[in-house]
Amino acid sequence: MTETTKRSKPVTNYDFATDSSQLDADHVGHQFDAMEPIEEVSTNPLRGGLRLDRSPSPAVMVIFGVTGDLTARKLMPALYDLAVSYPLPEGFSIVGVSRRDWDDETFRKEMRTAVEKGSRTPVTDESWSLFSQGLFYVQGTFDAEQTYQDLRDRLEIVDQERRAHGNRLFYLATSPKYYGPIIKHLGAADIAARQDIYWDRKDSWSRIVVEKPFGRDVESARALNAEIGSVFSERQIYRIDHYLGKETVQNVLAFRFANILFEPVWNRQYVDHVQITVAESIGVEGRGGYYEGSGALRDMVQSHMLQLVSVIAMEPPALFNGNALRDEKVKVLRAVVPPTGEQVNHRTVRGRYEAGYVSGRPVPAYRDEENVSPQSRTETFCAMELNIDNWRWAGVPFYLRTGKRMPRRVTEIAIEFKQVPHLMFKSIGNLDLTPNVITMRIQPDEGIALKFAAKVPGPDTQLRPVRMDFLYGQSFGEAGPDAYERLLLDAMLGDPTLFARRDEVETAWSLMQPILDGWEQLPVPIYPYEAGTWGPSKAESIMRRDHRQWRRP
Amino acid sequence: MASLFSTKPVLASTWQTDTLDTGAIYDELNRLWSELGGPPMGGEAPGEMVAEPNFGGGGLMRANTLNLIAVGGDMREVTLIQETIARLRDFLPSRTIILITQDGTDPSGDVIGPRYDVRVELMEQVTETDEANLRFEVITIGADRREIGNLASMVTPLLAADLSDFLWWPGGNFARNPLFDDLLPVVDRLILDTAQLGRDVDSIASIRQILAEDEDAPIIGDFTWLRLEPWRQLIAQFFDPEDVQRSLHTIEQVTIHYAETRADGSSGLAAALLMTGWLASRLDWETLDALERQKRGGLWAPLRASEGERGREIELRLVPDTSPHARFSLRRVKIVAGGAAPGTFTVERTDSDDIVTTSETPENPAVSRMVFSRRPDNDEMIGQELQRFGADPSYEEAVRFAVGLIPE
Repeated sequence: MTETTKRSKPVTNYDFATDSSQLDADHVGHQFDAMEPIEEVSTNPLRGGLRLDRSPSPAVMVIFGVTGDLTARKLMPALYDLAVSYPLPEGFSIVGVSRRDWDDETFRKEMRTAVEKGSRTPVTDESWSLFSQGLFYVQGTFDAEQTYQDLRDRLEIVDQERRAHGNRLFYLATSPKYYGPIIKHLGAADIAARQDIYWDRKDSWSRIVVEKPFGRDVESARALNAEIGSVFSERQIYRIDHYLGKETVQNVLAFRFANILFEPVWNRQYVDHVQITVAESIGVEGRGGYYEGSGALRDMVQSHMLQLVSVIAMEPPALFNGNALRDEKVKVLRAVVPPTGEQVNHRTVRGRYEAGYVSGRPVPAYRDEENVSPQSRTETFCAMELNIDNWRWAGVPFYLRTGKRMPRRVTEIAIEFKQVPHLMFKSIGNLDLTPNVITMRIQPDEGIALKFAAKVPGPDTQLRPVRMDFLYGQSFGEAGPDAYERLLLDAMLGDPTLFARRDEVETAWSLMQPILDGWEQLPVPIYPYEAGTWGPSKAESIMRRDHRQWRRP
Repeated sequence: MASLFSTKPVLASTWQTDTLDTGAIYDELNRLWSELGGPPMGGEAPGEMVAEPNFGGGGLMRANTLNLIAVGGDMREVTLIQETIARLRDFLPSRTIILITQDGTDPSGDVIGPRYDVRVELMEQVTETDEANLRFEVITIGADRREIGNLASMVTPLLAADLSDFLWWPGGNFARNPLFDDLLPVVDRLILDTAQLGRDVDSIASIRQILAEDEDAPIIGDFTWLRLEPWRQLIAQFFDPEDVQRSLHTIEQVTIHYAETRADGSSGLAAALLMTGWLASRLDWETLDALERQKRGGLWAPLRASEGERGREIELRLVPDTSPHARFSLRRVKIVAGGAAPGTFTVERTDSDDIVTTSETPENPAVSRMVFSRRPDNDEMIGQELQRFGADPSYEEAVRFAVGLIPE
């Protein structure tokens, strides 16, 4: 059974190809000041030739919402690993801010438990004792002035005792509703200062890391950016999308731009279409409240999947640095044409999982999950077709799908190529020819596979598709650092390459806005699908119309 | 923590011969792969096969990465090589060729048995995760010592095409070895361990010679240099803050405690020399004289920083240390700066897992911290070395400087 919404006002025209020339330099971060070095260059002669050619300056990281799940699961283990495996300098300190009635000792105790659970590096009494000397706690609510006075006082003491030199990395690990008050108070209490260049050797620095969601639509994203921008310049803002910290996403860049083999065929001349799948086998895992206000499109497509689209489709940047890379990503996003108006009805599909079995285990329907409304209209699956109107990709559809409670967890990008222009084997018959496909698996089993045709040995001509696999795990055995570890270090080093820029976020939202509006205003059903399947059968229609089909990842 | 993988031979053939036929080795390898392959399967779509089904079909992959030649001069080294290969997990060679030279004559000088022992193995690394198991090839050739002059010519055809070739020479006795000299032009990278040079530390000059030979000389990877990586990172980190960097120009004393030479010939002296070479080459110091042995033990040398008209003298002390934590490398490095920017900077290995750093300047109170830095095993170091392809100019500069410190 499907549901529909009532038709309301007509869908408006969208300016999703935001023109950067209409934005001030700060809005986009600075591509105008190409000569400005965006990363601190070490003047230390001993750094030359070292694997880590830079190390962050001594600093204090201030985590708002430090008693929350993100700090315990991700941040603190990553920080401990960084501190004890020596990328972080001695004297590196962390000040946690939260409402809970903790003191320094309680904070240290709680964090030890978290680190022991999540860290890659063993925790000993001695290593913890030295690390925890740099952990401090400030208790207070995020909207109280007193909290920030206490924080300022504490930072001054830490600066003196731990040599932080006034360098600050603020991390908003709170609900987005607190972003505004925190930023406002940081500015008012003179704890954070606006800096209009990326770094200045003479001055201390302050930067802020913001967790997604960066808004819930284009309007709220702009409002949030304006709010953060009222205190911090774009150069100080690090919007974290942990997908970009993943080694395999960075490997997509290496695959494309460090091999000459693929670039000549990476275009409309040879590529038939691109499929991107981000499938999760889990449900909402106790985060029903959050997911109800989000859904698959906001949670996955607007952020992670558009990141994947941009790294697959962008032009080669001249440099691997913050703005060269991000400029290209934004440029290609601006060329994306999402469905608008009535197109939303037949170029997108949304779905919601019903009860079913995943890996042999019975799982409830989405509407029966904790903190989910029985009348919920939130989608747990969506699929769509996007087009990119530029010379490279015109006429090549990009099909995206994501969903929860699918048969298995997999993220992959498949580039499906066109058939050969003339098949000389046709007259022989007995053929089973499928197009070449390059598949990039982001998770799990990270790797790259190439499908091509080969002749089956024998007197007659039979062709079969074969697959050649390259698995990262087979060649580079040990897992690299966690994505958070990489991204936190980059933020401390002042390297914004793997963080989302303001224009990137706003452009991404502007691409999703017509779909969100279409779903709101048009009778677009939410198709049910059984948990443990690859989504509603209606999703096939997007592909079938173009005589294509979804891959089985 | 229990290891998540184990490596085991899955198929092997062994034979003895007087004539080493590389074609026979290939035939045997192909036969083993075929035997292992099983029916083609593992494709995504119905009827789709995995490429190269004979090369570990059934979804088991064969990673084509590089060739590794490892040479064992005695049973201790052979065991070390075999155990290391079995424990490798970072970057696995597709084909490993282990060469063992052995005495093939009895005390009277008569030849006993055939000239070559050959073993061809397919090894499998089994993981406990859901990743596919990895299979790779190991060819072991035991040769009569009299055949040492021919061995390199037999190895070359066994190297898999289009891959980088690495030579691992775990022993210290590479200087004046004909096999070493023959293999050197064949490989892209040479991996050795100068900590094994022991008392023969002047052999470090042969590394200097290799570096100087010609541009086709292989790139050198040295375990001793790898062991120094955390030390160099931590020392560099002291001087990252701008205000502390001034102390680099007022250094007056460097004291390095190194592992004394042990009965097995290993020593930390090469590490101490390379550490000195690194500091000196990065900071533009020069040698005034070679190292001098001290009555109380240890070595001493004056260095000079080329600053100002007269330059600045730096006192270098290398002190042997009996602590087991120092093994193969260093126990402690202490840098004392004076003059206008005084400070004391110490890095010390406190046990096999941890290094403690302490720094103090008049403006900055003393701060200590502990970093986790487990003394690396051979397999970890080989794994790291196999991932490196480029030359490390810092190492080459350090070697050049260190050679100047070695007494005649």
